[in-house]
Amino acid sequence: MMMEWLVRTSLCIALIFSESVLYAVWGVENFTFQLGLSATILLGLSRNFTLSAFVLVFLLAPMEWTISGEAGHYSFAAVVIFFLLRFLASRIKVNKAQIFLVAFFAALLHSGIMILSIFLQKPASSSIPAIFSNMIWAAFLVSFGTLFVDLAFQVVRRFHDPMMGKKGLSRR
Amino acid sequence: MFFWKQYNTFIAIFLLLLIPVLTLSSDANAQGMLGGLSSFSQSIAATATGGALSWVGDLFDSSSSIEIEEMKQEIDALREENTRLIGVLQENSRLRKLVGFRTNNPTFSLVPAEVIARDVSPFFNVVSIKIKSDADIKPNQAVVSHEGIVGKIESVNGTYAKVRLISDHRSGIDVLTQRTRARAVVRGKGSPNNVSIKIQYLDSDSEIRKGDLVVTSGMGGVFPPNLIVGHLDRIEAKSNTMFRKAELVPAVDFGRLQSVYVIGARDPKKKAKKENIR
Repeated sequence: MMMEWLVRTSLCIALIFSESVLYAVWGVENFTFQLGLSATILLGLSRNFTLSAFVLVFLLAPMEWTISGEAGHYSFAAVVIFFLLRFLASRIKVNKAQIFLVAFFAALLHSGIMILSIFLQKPASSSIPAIFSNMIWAAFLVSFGTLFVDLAFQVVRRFHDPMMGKKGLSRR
Repeated sequence: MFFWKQYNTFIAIFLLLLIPVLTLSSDANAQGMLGGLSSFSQSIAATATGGALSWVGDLFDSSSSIEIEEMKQEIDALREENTRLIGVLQENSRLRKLVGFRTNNPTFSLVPAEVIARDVSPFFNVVSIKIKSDADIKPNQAVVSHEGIVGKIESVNGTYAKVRLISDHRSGIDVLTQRTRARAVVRGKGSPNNVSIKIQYLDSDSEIRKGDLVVTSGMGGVFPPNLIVGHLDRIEAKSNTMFRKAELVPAVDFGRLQSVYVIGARDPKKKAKKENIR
């Protein structure tokens, strides 16, 4: 478990920082995928709660650093989304095709929680209209980002379990 | 070990709740333990980003060197030399413009910085810059490039700082049109796929036209006067309302932002010298 935790955490941190750096190198302004949030959504949907929770614990600080605005609200909303998805994943089985939709609504909800949380702390903050006007576009991009991060997670899973998704006897 | 196995889920939940609460309760100016914790985690993240940037740089370097090797087989040595020289000339031109800005604004204490990272959400238009460790940079100081106003410092962490661009929704600058001195406020739109910035509180009687240059007024004390912000683009027709609406195209191409200057405190010696010359 320790090794898997280390690999997953490193992968997620690398994705978050690479995203920020590559946007600076290529001059990307608004076409941003928020891979940290995508990773949070997938961690929320994964089966191993403790492993996912400890990965997320180490992702919160990098996420906060790569997102500006009001401090703490982004990571707070991410944690809420993680717990909500845990609740959902324990009741409904989400297949690969549904991940896109789940990610879209989770990202929308994430923006909504951020707005609510900022509103409660600073009702006059100009971050609220900024988030509100961009939340649908952001959710759309997060959905695509989630597919990419899911692919990266699958590669890691295969690295730990090469027989994943294969029937043992069929290999004979 | 037993304790860990028994309670690891509770520890994870506790940490997940604790970290956002700590971050929420500490902001950039927080003092004491919370401020220290926030600063410590941010400096680790900044160092990691710096490392990632150099790694990406190396990656591009190695890929371009392979590319050059392949090109060597295809093109002759003169064309290769020519390509290299064009690159050097472009770099030279960019640096000359930066030096030119410094020469034209001798009274400012300008601190050079490089853009190293960008905000990964579409909500906020913020970039991270790398500054010298001994540079005296504080929040709210103006950031410019050779093209014009870039934004202002949002927070500083050791050798890194975050710059809120003028296109950010939270940004507002007092400006004047250079031709008619009509006063207004430039506010970032922060909306995706839109490079323009809105202009507010422009007097409905003001004489303005498309293409008018917009400069900082110097009001508010953050941005020095007469620095280029951009030029007027779309202007709403005159009406009976108190203010007219307009849009501005920023002078700075934020997508290609590489080198910037942070405007520090005015150098009193240089200021006195300039006044003596007058």
